[in-house]
Amino acid sequence: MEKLLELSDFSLYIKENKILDAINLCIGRGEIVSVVGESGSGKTMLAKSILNIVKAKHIRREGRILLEGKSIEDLPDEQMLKIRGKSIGMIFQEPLSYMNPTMKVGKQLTEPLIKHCGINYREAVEKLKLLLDRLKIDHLKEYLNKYPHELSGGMAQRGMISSTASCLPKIIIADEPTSSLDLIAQKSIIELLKSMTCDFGISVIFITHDLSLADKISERVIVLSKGRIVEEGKTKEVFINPKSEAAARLTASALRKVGNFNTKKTNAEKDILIRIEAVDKHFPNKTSNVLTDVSLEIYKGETVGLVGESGCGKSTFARLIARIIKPSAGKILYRNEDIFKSANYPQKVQMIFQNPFFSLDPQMKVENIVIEGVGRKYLPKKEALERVKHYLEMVGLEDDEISTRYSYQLSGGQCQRVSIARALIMNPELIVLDEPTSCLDTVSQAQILELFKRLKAENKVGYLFISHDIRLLAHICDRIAVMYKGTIIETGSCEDVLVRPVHPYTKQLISVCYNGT
Amino acid sequence: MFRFICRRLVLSLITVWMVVTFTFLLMHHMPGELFVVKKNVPPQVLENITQKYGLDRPKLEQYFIYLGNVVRGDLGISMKYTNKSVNTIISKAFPVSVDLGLRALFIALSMGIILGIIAALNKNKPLDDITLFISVIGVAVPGFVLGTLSQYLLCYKLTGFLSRVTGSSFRLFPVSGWKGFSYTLVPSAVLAFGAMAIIIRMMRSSLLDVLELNYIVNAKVKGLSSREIITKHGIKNALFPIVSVLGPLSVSILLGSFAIEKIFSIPGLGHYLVTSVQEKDYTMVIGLSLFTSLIVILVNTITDILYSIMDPRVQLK
Repeated sequence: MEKLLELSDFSLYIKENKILDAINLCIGRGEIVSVVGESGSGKTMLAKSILNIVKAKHIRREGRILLEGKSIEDLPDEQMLKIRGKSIGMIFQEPLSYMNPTMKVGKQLTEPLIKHCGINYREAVEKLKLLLDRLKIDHLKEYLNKYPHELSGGMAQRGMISSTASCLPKIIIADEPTSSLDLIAQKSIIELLKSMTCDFGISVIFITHDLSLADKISERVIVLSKGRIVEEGKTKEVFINPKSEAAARLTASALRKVGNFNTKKTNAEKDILIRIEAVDKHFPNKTSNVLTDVSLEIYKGETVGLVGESGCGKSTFARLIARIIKPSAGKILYRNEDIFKSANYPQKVQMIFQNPFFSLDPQMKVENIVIEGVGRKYLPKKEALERVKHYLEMVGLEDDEISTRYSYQLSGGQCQRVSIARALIMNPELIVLDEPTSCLDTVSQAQILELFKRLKAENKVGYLFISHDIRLLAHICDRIAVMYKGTIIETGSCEDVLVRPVHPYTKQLISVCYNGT
Repeated sequence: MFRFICRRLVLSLITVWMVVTFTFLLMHHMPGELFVVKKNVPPQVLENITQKYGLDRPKLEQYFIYLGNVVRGDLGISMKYTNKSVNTIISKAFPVSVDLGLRALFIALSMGIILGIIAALNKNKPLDDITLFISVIGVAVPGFVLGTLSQYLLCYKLTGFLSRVTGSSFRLFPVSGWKGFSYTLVPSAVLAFGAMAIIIRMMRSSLLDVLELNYIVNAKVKGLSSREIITKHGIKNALFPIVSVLGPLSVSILLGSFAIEKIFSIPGLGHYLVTSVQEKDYTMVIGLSLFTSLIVILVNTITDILYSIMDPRVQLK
């Protein structure tokens, strides 16, 4: 295969710290190569180094980067401009944060076309529409006239990919492009990337922490650990028979994730904790309801999973239950009492958010975050600290130092544990978890799930677990509810939903998850 | 938008009513007789005023009489300038203040934003230090010092020197007065200086923050040049903090020009604001407070609307 991009002995230093260590990498034309590694292994730094957009002081680069045989590692910025976007495109993990919030989507997405192909806006839109059409985006005209905050993550990512691909670059670097998306959107994006390589001979560097995903998209995989390539080879072989420790860790957690589902639920006490009755939610300036006629019962000590594609109303539902927003119609009853009249409801129902970094106050120490809900002033200092320690130990943060750190000094997994401790200390009856693991890498994801299983066995707390990944829910839930376009279309025990799905959407969801077809 | 403006209208009526009531109460609780007869007020005039505004009646009655007059748009007659009504004074002096204020605002905004951008793009380089120096002076040196200094140096020394050299009677910067374009330059620049200093610092830090964001990285990846990145994606998003302080800033420029007006003998509103309080000119005080509160509400409403136009995420309700 013709060599397209080659890195030879490429190293990156930031203030004498070796971030990337003698990377040797070769990508052929029309080839897809996966780069996998745990978070912090240097995957993103590698991607950014190729485009020379690493932003830090005191950077030193060594080694060579060759694009079609020409060295690009120390090209001046004016010449790199012609390579960025035109020869090498890049897509990112959280697409919404990579979009200008005050510019219409259409205008942003056509920028590369206008810049590199010398055409006007109207022609660029026509070209872009061809690509967007393949990504199953309806109402194209409206889509292009929206602002980023009106899009879901999946919609934004599809736009980003079509924008990047529209200039027909030689290489697309995809940095975890699907990790914040639901499985159906994930699949369509992987298909698009694959078809790009077949139809136009675009090469793809696919960066991910998910080995099973790497297996779906590429034949060749490179495993990074601590800035070094520790293993390289056929994806299947690495997946089945990992040689390096890092790859073994990644496979282990990936396998655990797709493990058998837990259908042996202990029939929870038939004591209804929360009853949601025909709830509608409508936001002003939106034509249709976000939630329509949603009813659900959650029993005491039960774990209910809520699954659905991104943008279907899962998070709105979670916020309704957590009393953050009010329903437009219908009732939510907590022990047969309206939740808006119940005084101790906020204490009894706790919520854990998707992004642990955003949901913890960066100005507060961990101990203060954890104790805040209980009210530190009501407790003697010693007792408060002991309480904090107890709950931190419960979530697996035994290290004494952690309680005096700030959230930005912790990893994503640690932050999420702090959030869980903060919720548990309130002694709640129900914890609402809005995609608690989707921002974490596979290893921390597996750890958090282990933790939930343990907590479930130890305490009598009920959970409403929201996720776009039905495999994950099958693993820990007693009951699963499937949400589609703002309504719950199916509810039942894990076994019922997974083995005997009724609704066509549920069937599609399950087949995507388990068969990858 | 329509609902927003209606709501604002109702709220502003309540605000204005409260302002009038509180000022009225405060004025009537000031120590000393309200209208100690000044030597230049003829007794006949005083009697007429007392008659018209019911000053010999109980305070509650006076309040309602006054409120009724305000509703009819009559702010009363000034107690000091007995031959002038408050309406006339405002309508004469306010346009001058607005003229001065708008010029100053224009200078402050344009210079502040441009210098802020220059500072941000040359972070930690000499140009950044120079703009930082300018903004420190602007924040630290009070307007009356700067006013006096520039009047002496620019209007007196420099202008005098130039007319001596050229031998003509043309004065580049007249020392005082308000008779034409050349008269406006120095006062409005001096008035703008403080606000400009704040805007420079805000624009600099806000643009630096924006340039760290992910969508700027993405713009770079798309292959846009630095100039395109800054003009298309940077500046607009960096302007939000400035728009949000624009309300209070423009109010302080429009109405807080007392010192500058005094130094350059400009017949603006600032002069009346201060003397009316000193002279316990109560119709004037209440009238001006009412007028000021109206300006504050108006400017804030305009800023809110401006903000919602610029940022699609903000919706007026």
